Amino acid sequence: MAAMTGAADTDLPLAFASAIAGDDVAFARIVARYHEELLGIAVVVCRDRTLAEEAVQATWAIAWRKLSTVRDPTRLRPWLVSVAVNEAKQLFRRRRRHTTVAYVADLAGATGGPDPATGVAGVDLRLALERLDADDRALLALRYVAGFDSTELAGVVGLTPAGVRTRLKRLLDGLRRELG
Amino acid sequence: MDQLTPFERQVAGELRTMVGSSTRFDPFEVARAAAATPRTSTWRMPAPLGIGDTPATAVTALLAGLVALGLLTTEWLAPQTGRELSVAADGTGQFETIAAAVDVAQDGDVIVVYPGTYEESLLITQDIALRGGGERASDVVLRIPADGPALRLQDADVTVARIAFLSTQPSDQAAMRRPAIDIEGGRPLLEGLEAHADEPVAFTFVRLAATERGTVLRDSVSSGGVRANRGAQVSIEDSVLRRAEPGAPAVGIALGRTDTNARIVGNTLNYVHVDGASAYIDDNDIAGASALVQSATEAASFREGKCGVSALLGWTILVDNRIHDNQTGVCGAAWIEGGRIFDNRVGVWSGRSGNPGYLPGRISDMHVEDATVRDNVVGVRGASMSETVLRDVQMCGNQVRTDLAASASLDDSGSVAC
Repeated sequence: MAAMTGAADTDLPLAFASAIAGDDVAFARIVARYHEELLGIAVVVCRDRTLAEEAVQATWAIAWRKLSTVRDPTRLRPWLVSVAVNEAKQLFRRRRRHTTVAYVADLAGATGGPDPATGVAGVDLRLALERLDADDRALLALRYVAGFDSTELAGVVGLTPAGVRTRLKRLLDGLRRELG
Repeated sequence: MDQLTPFERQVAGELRTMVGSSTRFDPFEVARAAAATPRTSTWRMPAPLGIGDTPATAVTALLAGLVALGLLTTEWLAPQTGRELSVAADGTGQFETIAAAVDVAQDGDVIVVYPGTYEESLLITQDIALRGGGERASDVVLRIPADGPALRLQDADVTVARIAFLSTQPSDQAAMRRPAIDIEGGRPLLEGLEAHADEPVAFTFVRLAATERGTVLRDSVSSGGVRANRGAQVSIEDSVLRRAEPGAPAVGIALGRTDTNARIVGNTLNYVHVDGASAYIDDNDIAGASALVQSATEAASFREGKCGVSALLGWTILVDNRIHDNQTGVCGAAWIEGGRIFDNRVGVWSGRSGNPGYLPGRISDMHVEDATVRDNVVGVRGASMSETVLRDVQMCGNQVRTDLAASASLDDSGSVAC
């Protein structure tokens, strides 16, 4: 990585305003601040790092064009995350439509034995997560990787906070049932 | 995320493992690649086939012809969702009319309307977003056509943002019949909108019905009112709904029927009229009600038609509002908790004797608690058959403190200095 740190939260409004005005160095500071987080979320949604990188690059292209539509710098992160999730979902679906190769789960790093608190083996959980559709993985990524609460999630997925909680609960209950 | 269950913690851990370790990247390179895309789209819908068109244009025109003949659906031409469709009246967008963009839009698409004036009657049934592309709402003006609302939203989860609506109807009646936005069903979000009339006539900004899943209107400014009826569920937040100039009709929110529920929070407006609905009204500034412009029947039936909040049948809960400079601050039957009611002719008027249209026993129960009623000509007035409860109400500076002709409870009221 180049010797550059991302815009700290205190510098963000300035970087944000400068980037809107066309300052690509300021924009690079925003990229440095959020790129890795967006990539992580996109990896969960796409299940493929190359695809995720493509989605995040598309996210930055959208951000460059539409940064001015984000009226408040404090809303930048949720906006970027939601764009990245949408891009990742679209790429994943497009790629799946044109690919007939059966998906082989990447189990690298999956823990082996059952978790003592839940009795669920990490490998089984990883496989179950891989089998979810992109929408469900996106919801989990937003909640457990991006750390969005139900109110923030509601803004991204277009449900009420209560609706988000219900959907998450159903999703987790479904996973739990599948894993016995 | 400190309240996760053990299973959630395991899911979160497994997801983080999927994310993997950090990778090296050059933010300058990423930013440069992103900045290589133009900031505004220059692509636009090709014109209809004409002499000298290129073959590519001819193919597009042929497809457009098939669509027009119903032999091909636009979904075939535009199968992707989550797209941005740009509209510009000057021809610099993909479409020159909003209707053309709406025709091809699918769930998840965003229509961005660039600055200009548009006069269209739109029907949206898809879950899309319609956003003004200007710096301010007033950069994109949608004139309300003579034959109907500018925007009809039916059973759709639509976001409409940063657009100004202009009513050009010559009379109150015509303008009230043709609202800027007409909503039936769905769960629309209306944000950062403006609505005005070019003449000082009463007009309807938003008319809602049967929105069981809720409509949100927020951060908007209008000199036309909101009317919710027939099962509408609406939250109106942080908006300004008031007359554009002195002498113009009062502007506010009118709620009707028992299956209508409203949450009205943080607004500045001339009045709220609750007739049979349920309303939670919190932290608003309600001032300047001098003439309700409702139907002739409503205006005649309600005492002087000049109440900041008129609470007829249904439930009206008022919390921490500032209600001032109205003919009457609050009329009818309401639960008032906190807030300040001042500089009205009558602060609180419980009951509406002389009105045969409603059941007087039901409508006249007024409960006022912890509020300040001051500097009105009459602080609290109660009509015959009304029941008024005043608890811990601070009353001072009113020329007539109370004028209660019926049963009233005055627990500690007036004992605390203002």
